[in-house]
Amino acid sequence: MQDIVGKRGWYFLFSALIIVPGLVSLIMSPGWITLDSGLKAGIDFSSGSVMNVSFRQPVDEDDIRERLDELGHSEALIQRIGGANYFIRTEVLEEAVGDGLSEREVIERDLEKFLGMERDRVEFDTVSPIVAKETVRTAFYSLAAASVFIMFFVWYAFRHVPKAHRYGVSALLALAHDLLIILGVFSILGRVINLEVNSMFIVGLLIVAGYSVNDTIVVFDRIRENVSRHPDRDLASTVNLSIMESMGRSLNTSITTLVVLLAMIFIGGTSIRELLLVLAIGAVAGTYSSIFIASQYLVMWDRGEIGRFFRRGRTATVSSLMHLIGR
Amino acid sequence: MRSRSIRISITILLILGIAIAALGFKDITIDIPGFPRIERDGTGPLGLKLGLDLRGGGHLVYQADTGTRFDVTFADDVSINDLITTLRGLRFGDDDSELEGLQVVPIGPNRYQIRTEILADDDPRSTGLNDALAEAHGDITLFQTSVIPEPTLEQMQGVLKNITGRVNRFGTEEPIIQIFGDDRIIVQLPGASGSVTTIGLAEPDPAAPAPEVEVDIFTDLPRVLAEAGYEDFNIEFDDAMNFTVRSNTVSSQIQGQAFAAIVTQIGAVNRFEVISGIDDAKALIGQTARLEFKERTCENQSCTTFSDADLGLTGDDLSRAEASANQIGIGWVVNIQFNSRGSDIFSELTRRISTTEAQATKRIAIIMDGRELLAPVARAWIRDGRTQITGNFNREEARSLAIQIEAGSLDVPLRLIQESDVDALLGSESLKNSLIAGLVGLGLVFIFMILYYRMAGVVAAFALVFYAIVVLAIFKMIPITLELAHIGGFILSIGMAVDANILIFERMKEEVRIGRTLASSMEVGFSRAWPAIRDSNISTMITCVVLLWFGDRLGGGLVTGVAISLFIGVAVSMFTAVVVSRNLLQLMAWIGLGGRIELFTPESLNRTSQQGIQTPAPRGGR
Repeated sequence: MQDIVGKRGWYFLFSALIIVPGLVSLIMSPGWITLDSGLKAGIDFSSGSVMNVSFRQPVDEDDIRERLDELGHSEALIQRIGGANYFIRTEVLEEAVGDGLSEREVIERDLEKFLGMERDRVEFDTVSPIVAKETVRTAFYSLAAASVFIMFFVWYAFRHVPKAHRYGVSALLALAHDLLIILGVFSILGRVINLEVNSMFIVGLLIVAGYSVNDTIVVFDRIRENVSRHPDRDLASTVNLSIMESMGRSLNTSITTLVVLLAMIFIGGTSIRELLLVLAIGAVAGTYSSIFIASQYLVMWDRGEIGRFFRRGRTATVSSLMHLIGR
Repeated sequence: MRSRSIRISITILLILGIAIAALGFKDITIDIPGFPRIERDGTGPLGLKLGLDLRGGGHLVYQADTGTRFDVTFADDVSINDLITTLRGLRFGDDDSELEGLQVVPIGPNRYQIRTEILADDDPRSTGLNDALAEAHGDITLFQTSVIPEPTLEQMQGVLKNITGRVNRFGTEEPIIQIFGDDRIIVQLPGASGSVTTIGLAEPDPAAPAPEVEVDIFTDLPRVLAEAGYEDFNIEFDDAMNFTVRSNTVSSQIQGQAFAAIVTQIGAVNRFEVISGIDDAKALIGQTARLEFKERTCENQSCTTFSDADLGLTGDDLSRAEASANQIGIGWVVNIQFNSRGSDIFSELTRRISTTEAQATKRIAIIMDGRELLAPVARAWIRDGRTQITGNFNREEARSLAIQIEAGSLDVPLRLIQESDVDALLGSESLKNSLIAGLVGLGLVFIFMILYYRMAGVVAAFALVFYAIVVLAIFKMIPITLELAHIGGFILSIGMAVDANILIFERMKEEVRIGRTLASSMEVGFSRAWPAIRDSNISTMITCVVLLWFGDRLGGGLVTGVAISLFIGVAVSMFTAVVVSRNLLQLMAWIGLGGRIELFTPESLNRTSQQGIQTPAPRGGR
């Protein structure tokens, strides 16, 4: 049988390689220091500009989108409001720099030239965010509250197993792990490729939170079953056995979920891609954390490795990690 | 065992049948006396309700109604037309300035509200108006000036919050509400689009001279409507005199133009009514949403004529209003709680009007923006300011009333300056592409499941189709306004719904591997997989309930929407795996497929040497 538990130091190191840079990126300015978000807020979460425009003859929405894409406003939300009138939301348009044209003028001239927009009937102003800050805050508070409930539920569900609270804490840890990976990856991508987060991102986080614990409990269930069947066995080998036994299910569920996601990423429209990306990262992280974080954390706790890890102090952190990896 | 299985099969088919019917009939109306009426007529495919991003809806723009208001009462009779003529002719000060943005609203007998743009206190137009009007129309008994200044950002944010609270009634619709510029608010609501105009022409007066130009209603009516500004309309001719026009939302301005044009170009009209999808939202938002309580004295039995007396009791004197189920009767009630000032006034009022004699003629009129919401009779002397309005309300009516009563007046009075339909936020391609992608994904999952689990995979495929149909039917009947995020989440949840099936099949395989028969492998597999399915799904449901609770309290429509659709998905997927898949597998075992284990798991082929040996399970149960 494969020895999965023995290499547990590696798994934590691997996760840390993603989470630590992600956390740094989240905290770095603009981040918690400036009380701003380390994520790049998209059009849903930030103030923007609105142009209410009319065209001389009916135009196709796709043509407007094409023009705006060309001008670097792929974030634009375009809605027809009756007849040949359109309501266009964009990011805040920059004022003119020096003697150049302002962004607004550039867009107006372009739409007039190519699509016959009536420039004297343009209404232009700023708008507040579509999704209020409170909604985002609500989402995070709810997630935090849900996590606490989940911890107690797992504790309760595993009450017949010795040291049931450890299962609750480990499940919580796996959940936090998955959410941190998503937040970190999006924060880094925001800095590197200007990836913005919109309301779809919040939707994705909430779905992943539901999925992550679901997956962890399935693996824990095997451990619960095997612990009560072989009470004398060392927990490490019980966990190892349980992981191997449930591996088929874990892989198959991940494969089916990823198949659907990949099909949608490649065939589906661009508008839903952000959600799919969150879910794809969440599905992989969720499966990974159930096997390699939550379960291993149980073993580490059982062997008192966590206390040892922290007691040794900072200088010894690396060597203790090496010790774990070297096993 | 078998009869139980048959009963379950029948139940499953029944559920499937109901779900298919719920989706198959686009418009559904269920009206059972004693139960709330159910009407489902979403405009999306299968009659589903689609959100702003996929389908569009109604678009309202409000502007802070700023300016200077003069409340003038004349001693003599003054007609509104004369007053307007006078006002238009007035010039003030050294530079002969006029009253700009002039509007006159009659608010009582010989009492008018004159609205103009914001004037400074020492502006000659403000100081000189009283004298100028007195000179033209005689004595003025009352002259009041009030200025509604430009709103501050804080005030606009207050208005935004207030409107969001009103519109977010049930948490599953996701409106877009934004502050636009300094003094405007944009409200976009999913689905609330389109207008229905009913027009009834009057019989031509036989004494009147025949029209010079022959009117051909079939060509003239469309032309007249189009000229007035109707868009995307079609006309149903009920008979030669009555028509129903379905169109994009028509603003009151277009309605006025159409009415005038029909009267001049087609003939006299005795009925012209417009009902717009966005009317409900407009009523809920109100203009200033000023709430007043008045003492009503009825002048006849049915109280069709009455007079209202001011009590000085307004929305500011309320501390809360909420809907609840009626404890002692049927239906829903609205509970109202006044603050201490309100309680005193209300106590004094109910003491007077709750006597048996007074109940015959006295009512309490609850008025919003001058429009009556309700006029209940006071049944008791209420001393503590807690009262309950009973009526034959259903849940939706009671909640809507409570919201209107509680939401309080807006910090800034609003004026509706634009109303129209709005198209989907995302192109129509988005929905189509996502659906195609979802179907392809689903197909791949089927292929994978069938290749890997053989007949059991076929069972899983059927279970998934069942799952998808039932979830969509529930979405439709609740109803949930579907946004692209929900649809993405739904398609993904199909992938996840497979999980419970996989858990069961993997356990089954283990049991087959140690030599059980198919039927007993199924039973043992199910019972072993059950704790994992139960606990994992309950944990997801707990997450959903917590999100729902928080989202509802803290006002996050986004959060509640996700929580509800995820909860439904998990609940149905659990039922599907545990009841539908299990029952199907049992049926297969009984119709003779049970002996052919190789149809269920390819691995069983490797243990032909063991066939026929019934090894008892070496492992104890949990």
